[in-house]
This record gives sequence, structure tokens and C-alpha cells, in this order.
Amino acid sequence: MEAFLQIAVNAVITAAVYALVASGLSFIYATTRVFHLAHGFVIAASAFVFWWFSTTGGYPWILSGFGACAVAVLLGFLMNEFVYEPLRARKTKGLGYLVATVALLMFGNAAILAVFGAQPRSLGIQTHVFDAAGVRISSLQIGIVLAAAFLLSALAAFIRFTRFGKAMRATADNEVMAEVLGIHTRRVRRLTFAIGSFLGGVAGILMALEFNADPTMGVMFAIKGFSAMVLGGVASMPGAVVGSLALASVEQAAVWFWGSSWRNAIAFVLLFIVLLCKPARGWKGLVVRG
Amino acid sequence: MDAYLIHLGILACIYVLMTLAFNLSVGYAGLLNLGHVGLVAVGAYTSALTVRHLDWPVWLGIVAGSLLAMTAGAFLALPARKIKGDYYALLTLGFMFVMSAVLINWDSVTRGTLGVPGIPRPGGFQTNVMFLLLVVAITIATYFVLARIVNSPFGRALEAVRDDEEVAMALGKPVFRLRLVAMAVSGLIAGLAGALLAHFVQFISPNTFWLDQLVWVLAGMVIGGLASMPGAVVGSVLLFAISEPLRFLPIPSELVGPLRLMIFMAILLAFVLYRPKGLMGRAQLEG
Amino acid sequence: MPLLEIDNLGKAFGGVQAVRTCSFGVQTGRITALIGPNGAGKTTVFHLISGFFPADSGRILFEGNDLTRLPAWKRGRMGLSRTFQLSRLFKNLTVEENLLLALREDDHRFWCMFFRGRRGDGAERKAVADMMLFVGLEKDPKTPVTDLSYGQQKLFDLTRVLLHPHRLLMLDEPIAGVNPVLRDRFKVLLKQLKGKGETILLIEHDMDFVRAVADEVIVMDQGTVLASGTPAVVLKDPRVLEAYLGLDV
Repeated sequence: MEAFLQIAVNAVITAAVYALVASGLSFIYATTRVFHLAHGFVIAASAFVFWWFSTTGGYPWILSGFGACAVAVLLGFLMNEFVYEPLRARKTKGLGYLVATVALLMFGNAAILAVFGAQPRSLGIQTHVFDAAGVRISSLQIGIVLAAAFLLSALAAFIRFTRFGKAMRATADNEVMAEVLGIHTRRVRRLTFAIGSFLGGVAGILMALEFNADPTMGVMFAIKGFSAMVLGGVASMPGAVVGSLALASVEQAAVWFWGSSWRNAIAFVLLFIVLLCKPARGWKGLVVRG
Repeated sequence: MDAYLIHLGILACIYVLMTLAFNLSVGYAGLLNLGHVGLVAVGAYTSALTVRHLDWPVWLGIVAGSLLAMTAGAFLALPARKIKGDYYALLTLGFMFVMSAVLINWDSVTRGTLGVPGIPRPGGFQTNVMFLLLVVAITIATYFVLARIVNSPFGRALEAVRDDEEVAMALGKPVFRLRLVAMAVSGLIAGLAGALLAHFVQFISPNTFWLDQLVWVLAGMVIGGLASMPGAVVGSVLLFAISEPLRFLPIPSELVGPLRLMIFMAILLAFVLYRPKGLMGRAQLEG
Repeated sequence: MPLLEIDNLGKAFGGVQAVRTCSFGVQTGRITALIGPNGAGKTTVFHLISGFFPADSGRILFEGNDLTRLPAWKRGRMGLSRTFQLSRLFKNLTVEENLLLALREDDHRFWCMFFRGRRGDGAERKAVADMMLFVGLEKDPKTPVTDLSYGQQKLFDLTRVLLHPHRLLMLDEPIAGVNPVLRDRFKVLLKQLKGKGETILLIEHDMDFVRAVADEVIVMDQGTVLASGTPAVVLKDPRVLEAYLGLDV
């Protein structure tokens, strides 16, 4: 029972970070129809920049956080402006985007290795650990879950209630129609990438705080985010959250019983099962987009 | 210097083999199989382990590795019935991740991350010169067999399936069977390349078959151009020609790997953006 | 016995019932036209016959064989040959390669094909050239297929279905958007084909064309058959006029 509770708690903490990544990816996919795997690079870059600002730079966390998020948003913006938009202008189809995004992801991965080296960078934070009936959770972990919940709610509200949110939904539904209605779709995509990358940046900072900044985290998050998004249903915010919870639960259980070296394969096994078992048409993931 | 060139020639031939096989599945069959390096790993590990642990003759090991990779390739054709485009690409990428996890965790057989050392060369091909002759012969033979396949009505049917699956079906083409054969042949050649690599370098580890190698092959193929046999050769050789001088630049050795990858990826991006058909390709990447 | 018999076919997409209790037959040696307003389910019926997606209910009989559960490629091999509303080409291949693909049915046989060229043998190339001549598709066979103009694509579609070994031709809007000269050419061609004993099922919106070529007309509305019979009778049926033209007769 204690094991079960501890797995559940760990799963919720992991899911909080995954959900930030997956909803960013999902948000970007909804308006631009790009599986933005290079999002992983944004996350890893944010983590390393945060680490660098707060250790080498000696800045307080809040300033380092702002710096890391700024870098994340800038990266997302540049990738959209100089890679995805030209591809869109050329009317590229699906796999062209995929190869481009894989190239960006691996480029970023190599750039981080070149700049920061191969070893993981830890901030070495001591936090207060609560122990309730054998289940352990730190104050930092509680903070992570709260921060993710707050940001995701804010994003949901933004999409639901603002004019820009409406423009985004219109662009997602029908780009040509949105253009006809006078929506500047290119600007919408720009903002989409900025917001999605901001969420990724926060996810990177949270990872750097909880674990460490690790050069392999870019690829890892690209895959986890994609899997969680597909599991829950693409282009759906609640889907991204549910998918993240599902993925994190299975992963944590697997790590608990078999060890962490299987961790990266788990997402794919889950994805494989879900994609193969889905009905030929009409699958929308665990959550149907409302 | 000569010895170094021979060494490079062998590696270049092995990469050409991998790229040719990759081009068959992506360029001709239209399946972006990102698990390709996983197939190479199947060939390499099967051959290395049967020779080291079971004392099979090297030749038999290479054949076994190729055949097992062929089976794995055929297996990767199965999900293509239901799963298309981006999803198929990422699912097959998953095959590579799962393969890697198996290689790392099944350490009683594979020695995990320590890798398999001391893989023998085939008898009579102990020296690099002889080995070079061997891989060149194999590469040329493979090239002509593949060229024959893609220039036969079978290759034509394969390209039809790539361009429009539904119309091909309406014309009575058994889409699945065509792709199954193409993926099996692709797997066979990938496995062969892997086995040759294992017996040449004489040491393999899970790191030998990872994302770096995958994007290398991917870049080579896209640069050469989809559905082009000479393109696959030119693309992969070109990347070799670009990468090797980096070793002689006055930069720290741990920077060479990342720098090479960055250059490759920048070139790949430039091609996707400005010349999506590659240097001599006949088809474009589509979903 | 009809060559093709559709029996109580039904298909829904999500909540939309695209085809319901649809039954009709196509007689050997005749031209049957499937007409109806947009969204009546004509193309869905074509896709169901081709096997691009499974039917929810009902049966499709072709020469007395039940096709309903067969995969699409087997149906193609049994002698169904069809075009699409918008030309669908193997766009990285040449005109000739596209047509040879229709002609040969056994090119998936890896070993049999190993020593042949992708441009076929002399007899195959001659068959292709003859059919292009018959249809009136004037183009160098070695040009990329994407170089065809819209009208040429329509002719190309017809050439392709004719080259594919078939018992039944299914044409989805063969003259949609073509100029009057070409339209007349199609009229002549279809009548010639009928004279050769071909069986044709076609979807068409142009009523003059249907009246000129069809022996039998089947009117579909809201996924089901509203009326059928000779063009003279059916096209005067008040129910048809109402469904088709929205006229209040």
C-alpha cells in the first residue's frame, strides 16, 4: 500500500512536468500542425541556461528563471520564423516538417554538448521533505505540481476567454477561413510558439531544480511529450494532462519494479499498444476534444 | 596515412550500405523507418554474439545477423497497415529505443553498456586491406542487386504505393505485401552492414547504434535525394568527406563529435528548406 | 444476373449516415449512371465498392461473388477498375510508368520481376501506346505525369482504367470541368466502349451527358436510391426533380 501511494505521488510529480511539455506540444500542434519535437531542445536549453545563470552567474533564482524562459521563448520563436514558416511557404507536407524538427532537435542536443559538456549539472538544492505515513514528498515537489497546475489553468483560461485565444482556435480549425476573416495567422503561430516555448522553458527550470540539467533531457522530453500527447489525444489540453498522468503512472510503476533503465522504452511500448489497438478511424485519444 | 584512408574506405562502404538500405524503405517504399539503426544493431549484435558465445564461424554469424535483421525489418512493416506518416516514423523510432533498452538491460548476454569486445575478423580478411576488398565487393554487389530491384516492375509498383496507396490498391497491388518485401530487403542489408561493422571495429556497444548514427544516415539519404541509388552513395560519402577533416582541426577531441553532428544537422536543415529533393532525388518527403 | 449487385448497403461516418439501405444492380454491357445532388452518397458508394473502407451493413456482389469483406486490392484484381473525382497520379513517375502499372497485375512478385525492366517489354509499351491513341491522349509517354493538363488528366484516367484488366469500369465524374469539345469526345468514347461490350458505371452531374450516354439511371438522395430506370423516364420523375433541383413540382 505504501509502495502504491509512493508510486502515485511520484507519478503526479512527473506528470506535472510532462503535462507542461505535452500541452505545449499539443498547443503548437493544434494551431500549426507541426509535431514540434525540437521542443525538447527548448526545454534542455532552458534548464542549462537556468543552471548557468544561478551558479556561474550567481543571480537569484527568480532572475535566472526569467533569463531561462526568455531564452526558451526566443529559441521557439526563431525555429518557427526561420524553419517552419519557410517550410509552410513552400507547402511542405508532413514528413518534411518531421525531418526538419528532428534535425533541429539533434542540432540543439549537439550544441548543448559542445557548450556545457556531457556531464549532468546539478544545483544541489536542499529542501524540506515531508514524511506522511511512509510516503515522502519534498516542498519543492509540491511547488512543481502547484506551478504546473497554475500555468496549465492559466493557459486554458487564455485559450478560452481572450480574443487571441479565439483567433488561435479559429486558426486551428481552418487556417484559410481564419485568413479570410482577417486573422493574421502568421502572428497567431508566432504567439503560439512563444507561449508553448514558455511552458517548455518552465518545465526545463523545474527539471533543473528537482533533478539536474542533463544533455540527454532534450531527446527524452521530446519523446515523453509526444507520447503523452498522442496517448491523451492530439490537439487537446485535457488530453495532454490525462496522457501525461497515464504515461507517468506506468513509467513510475515500471521504474519501481524493474529499475530505471527501462524508463525510456516504456513510453514507446505504451505508444505502440495504443496506436495499434486504436480503431482505424475516429480515434481521438483518451480524451475527446470538446 | 594510407592505413588511415583504408580504414575510412571501409567505414564509408558500411555507411553506404546502411544508406542504400534506408533509401529502399524511405525513398522507394515511402516508409520513414526511424528504427533503421535498430535493424543495424540487430545484425551487429546477432553476429557478434553468435560468434563470441556460440563459437559459430564468422560467416555463419554474419548470415544469421542479416537474416534476423531481415525478420525484424519485415516486422516493422506490420504497423504500416494502420499507422501512417509522422506516427509511423515515431513508432519505428520507438523500435530503436526498445532495442537499445534490451541491449542495455539484457546484460547477461550483451554485457549491457560495457559492450562486446574482441569480435573476430572473418578468416582470410584479418588485415584492413583484405577487409576493404571484402566490403567494397559486398557494397558493389548490393548496389547492383538493389538497382535491379528498383528498376524492375517490382520497384515501379513500390513507387506507386509510395505515391498513392489507395490508387495502387484499386489497381490490384497488394500494398502490404510489397512493403513487407521492401522492408525485409532493407532489414537484410541493414543487418549485413551492422555485422560487417561489428567484425571490422571488433567492439560494439549500445552507443554504437544510437540517434547520432540514425541522423547521420538520415542526413546522407536526404542530401543524396530520395529514391536515387547514386544519391544514397554520394550523400553518405559526402558526409564522410566533410566529417573527417574535423579531426585534424585544433579543437578539443570531445568537441569533435558534437561539432560534426551540428554541421550535419545544419546541412540537413538547409536541404530540407532549400532543396527538398536532395542532390539527385526523384521524390520528396511526404506524409 | 447483374454484373454488379449492391444489396442494402449502409455506411455511417460518426453520426452521419452517408449511405443507407442502398440497393441497385449494374447490367452487363450497359452504361449505368449514378446521379444525385451533392452529398447524396454517390462517391461513398464507389469507395465502398472499391473497398477503401468497410461497409457497416449490406452486401456487394460482383459476378455472383461476395466482395463485401475482401481487401481493396483483391477487388481490383477481380476486375473492378475505377477513376477518381480528381485525378490521382503516381506523381513521381512518367506517364508510361503510370499506365504500365495499371496494365501489369503481377508486378508484386519479387522474383518473377527481378530480371525485367521498369519500362516493360515491347508488347506492353505497344499496348500502352495503342490505348493512348484510342483514347486520344497525345503526350510523349516518357514525360513526367505531372506535366499533364487538366483535360489530359481526364483522358489519362480513362486510359488507365481501360488498361487495367477489368470487367467493370467505374468512372467518378469523368467530364467534370472539361471543355465542350472534350465532353463530346467522351460521349463518343463511352459509346464506342459500350459497342465493344464494356460495362460502365459512372457518376455524373451533367444531365445532357447522362441523357446521351446512359442506358439506365439510378438516382441517389440522402444515401439511398430514390428512383431508377431509363433516362427518359427517371429524369421526368417529379420526386427526382424535387430532390435534384429543389423544385417544388
